[in-house]
Amino acid sequence: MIIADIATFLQTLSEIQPYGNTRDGVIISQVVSGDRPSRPMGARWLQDQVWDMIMICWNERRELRWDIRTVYKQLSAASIQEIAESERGNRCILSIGDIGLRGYSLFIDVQTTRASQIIEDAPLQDLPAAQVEGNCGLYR
Amino acid sequence: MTAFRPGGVRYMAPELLDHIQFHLPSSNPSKESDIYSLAMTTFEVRSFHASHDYR
Repeated sequence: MIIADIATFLQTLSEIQPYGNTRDGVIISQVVSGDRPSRPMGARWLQDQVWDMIMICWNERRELRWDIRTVYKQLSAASIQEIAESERGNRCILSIGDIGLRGYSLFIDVQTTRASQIIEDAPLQDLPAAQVEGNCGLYR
Repeated sequence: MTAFRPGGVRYMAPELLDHIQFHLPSSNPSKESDIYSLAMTTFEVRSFHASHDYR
């Protein structure tokens, strides 16, 4: 499951967590009732199109969220190529799929979230296993 | 209430936190809940850079 691994690697990346120091029980009730983090300042890193993507993918109706291919298109878009200069070569692979079904692997840079590659609609056993370049792994 | 992994709830989609409210039979993760988590990760990484005026 990706969530635990995200939480683990982010501790090495950043002292900032979504919802700050709010206790888990409070976060749960807020998220279930529809609250989401607010948009921070910093237009270069959270352009309108990236923020729009995030908000759509946070929709409480899961069928309205983007699929991984659409997310890949946004995160690899030319409009954010400029941030690639900040990358340090730490890639990780995010594999999404259900046990016994077909899935996807998304390659993202851990410093910038820029996506560089996607493997689509492959049997899960053919997807790359959790692969770590640098110091993180995202997978399930 | 299910016990959640420490820190994990911040990245979990609402339907995993309370599947009954969202009319789902279980709180199993799905492709859609993974997309939610990926968006939260994108938000966190980019908010970090924004707050540090990275360039």
